[in-house]
Amino acid sequence: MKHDIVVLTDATLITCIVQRGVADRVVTAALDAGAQGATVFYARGTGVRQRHLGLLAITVSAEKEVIYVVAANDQADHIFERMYLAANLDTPGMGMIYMSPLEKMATYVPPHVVARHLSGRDDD
Amino acid sequence: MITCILQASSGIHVLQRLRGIGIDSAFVHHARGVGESGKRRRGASYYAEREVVTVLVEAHRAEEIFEFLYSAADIGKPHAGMVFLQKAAHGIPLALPDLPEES
Repeated sequence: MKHDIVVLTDATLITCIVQRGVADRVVTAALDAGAQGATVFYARGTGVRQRHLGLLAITVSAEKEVIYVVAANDQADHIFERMYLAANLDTPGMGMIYMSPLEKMATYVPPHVVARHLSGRDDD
Repeated sequence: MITCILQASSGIHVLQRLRGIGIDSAFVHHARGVGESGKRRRGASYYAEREVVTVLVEAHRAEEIFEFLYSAADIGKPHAGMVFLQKAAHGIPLALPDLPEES
């Protein structure tokens, strides 16, 4: 049986690490900025200078949430900025965010979208 | 490095199938996922339970394992998840010694 895989290139993975409880706000900002989805999981993280941040090192929680957002390259910068602002990452101890390029990715793409893309390519 | 976000409870089965084709350098963890189609009311998103499988493979097997994960996780179906491939700058292949099978 033949299977065709619709492979997407020009995609970027945005990874954002925040303190536990902050992820929902960041995900909402990403979706509002045009992201198609997000994946969140828990983690634990500490830093060598963490005890100097926050109030008696209590306000910087070691419990973290990690957010994955896959976005098209042309949208990634905008989503990145919105997530950065939503997570208050300009404040020390709040977390970090980074982007990494993807070689390729695959997910469900509705047939009519594939057909539209292929017909557009044939016209060129 | 290949990352596959898939539906909950299927991660361990995918790991077992990977072991069957000689891939031991993989792990799975729980996650929650939300899509643009997820209804949002009063700012709260509806999350679905997910699992994330991460696999480190040698470059010459990357395409094969990418397609394997696509098929094993039924990524071609709606709301099944996604799979993506990244280059790893450095990595150490995991070679397990001969061990008896666990029951």
